[in-house]
Amino acid sequence: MSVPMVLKQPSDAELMARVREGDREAFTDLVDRHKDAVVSYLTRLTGDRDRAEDLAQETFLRLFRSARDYHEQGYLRAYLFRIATNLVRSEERRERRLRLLLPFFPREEHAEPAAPGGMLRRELHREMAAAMAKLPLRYRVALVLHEIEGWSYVDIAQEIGCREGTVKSRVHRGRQQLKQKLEPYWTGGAAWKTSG
Amino acid sequence: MEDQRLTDLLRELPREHARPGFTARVLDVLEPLDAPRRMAPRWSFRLATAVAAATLVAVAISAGALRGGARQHREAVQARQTLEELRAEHGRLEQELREISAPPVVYLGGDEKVDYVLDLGKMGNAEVELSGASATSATPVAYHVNTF
Repeated sequence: MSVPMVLKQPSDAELMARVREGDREAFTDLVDRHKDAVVSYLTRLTGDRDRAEDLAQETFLRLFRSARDYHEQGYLRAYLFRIATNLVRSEERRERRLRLLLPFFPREEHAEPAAPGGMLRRELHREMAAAMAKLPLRYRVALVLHEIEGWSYVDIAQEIGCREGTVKSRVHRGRQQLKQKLEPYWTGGAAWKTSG
Repeated sequence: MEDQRLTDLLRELPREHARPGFTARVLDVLEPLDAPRRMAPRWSFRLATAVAAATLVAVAISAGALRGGARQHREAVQARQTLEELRAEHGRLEQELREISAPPVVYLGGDEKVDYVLDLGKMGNAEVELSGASATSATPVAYHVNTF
């Protein structure tokens, strides 16, 4: 009787161990495994799909470069998200400095292409993404990790290095600010309920 | 109520996917970089190169210093020798000068018993003495009784 061969996928830790040895195939597997999660996280964090893609690319490059210093803690995705968050933080800091230096230059607003007419839910998603992108980063990170990625408060606290209560407070404040920004949608009727 | 709607809205935000070719693009950028494993020998190679270069520089400096010391010693010996030669030359010249500056003696004549010699070193005094006398009355100011 033949036993069906089950191909066991190597764990992140195993792949990282191989990456440390210079195995590019292992690195390719890691990128393939986590690219969607990282791009999605960064899109929520930045509100800009193209920027998210660029930052995700840089995130993986940094992972590769720091492979030798990486200490396995059982959850590579958290490590990737941390790199991604730091990248967004650095970029926003740079942008803030630039705005301070060049206050008279009009800033180019990034606008997603308009959704086809009648697709109200998609429009609402776009508004939501835009509103979220305007939140302070500390609220945004907590909100995205908790509400969208489904992380627990404890995990987020551990990952961003603060107390659980702080995370709860940030999620709450983020939500409050989001609600304010989306006020027209709350008061303007249940437009988003109609399409779905 | 709004809270629940917000939660629903957040949760139903569509998941984004990396665009096709994302992994290939990452690997393209990665291509010029070295793999971590290869970075280790590279580091050791760099370290070895740096140590070798530093050793070479140290050896060169030491050799230069040694060579410089030997050259200095040789120059000092040479200088001492030159000084000795100069001193000797100086002595010879002084001796010659003394001999030259010694007033000449003119042999005037004589016989088997007496030599008449004119000592020009004493001519200054003789001229003073002769200034008032006639030339015909000139007499030798000195003479040697020794015969040659």
